[in-house]
Amino acid sequence: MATVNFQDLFDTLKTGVVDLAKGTVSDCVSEATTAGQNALVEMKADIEDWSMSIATGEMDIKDVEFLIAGRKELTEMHGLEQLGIAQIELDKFKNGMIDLIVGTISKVI
Amino acid sequence: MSKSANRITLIVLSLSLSLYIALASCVAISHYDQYAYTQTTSLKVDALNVMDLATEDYSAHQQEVKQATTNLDKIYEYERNRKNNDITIQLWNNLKDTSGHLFIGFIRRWKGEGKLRPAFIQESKKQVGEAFDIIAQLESKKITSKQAQ
Repeated sequence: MATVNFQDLFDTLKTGVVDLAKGTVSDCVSEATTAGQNALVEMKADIEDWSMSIATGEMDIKDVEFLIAGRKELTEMHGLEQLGIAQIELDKFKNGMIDLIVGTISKVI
Repeated sequence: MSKSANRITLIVLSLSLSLYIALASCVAISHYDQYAYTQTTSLKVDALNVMDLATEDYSAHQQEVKQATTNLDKIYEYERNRKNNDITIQLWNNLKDTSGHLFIGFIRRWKGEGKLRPAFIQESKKQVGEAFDIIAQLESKKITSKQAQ
């Protein structure tokens, strides 16, 4: 079984993000690097587990590739969820406004 | 009540009614729907159970897959016909996407490769479960029609 020094692997990935940002988004290297490294930190536990699974032969690189893509789609879904929650809050505000108006009018008249 | 007080009351009333009509007619997102919530959580269980079968040959489980994907199509059609439901539909699109990597993407891969590794199945199940949870949790946070009245 191959041994994996996860911290070395993770540091390599972080350096890779910097190189990728420099090579692809030259106008905003700093922002892209920060976003990419934050995404890596969020996925750190998964990356560690999946790397170990590759090392032990429980998964192969195609499995991990699929799971990383799945994680990206879940991130998009969480973004949509937050948008939905903002709209729900807006609905609650509107209801509050309606109650306020009706309550105030009934007091005035 | 004096004439000017009457006039102010009338103006306030007119403005309030205009605002009321504007607010009441503008709903940001669909209201909570018990059927949609129940179907989502029920389908989550079915989908995860079907994924467990992927250690075995796809051809041996086509019937179970068909049942789960048909139920997914049914809830999708139901969601598609609810008003102001764009976000939930987009969420379902992620799960249904044949080129994606969630439930239907998993089925596509299973079909293509015949069977899948147990460790991969377990990891993918966590993601698919999370995807169903996002849809169910968003539904559960919506206001009810009764609250909106």
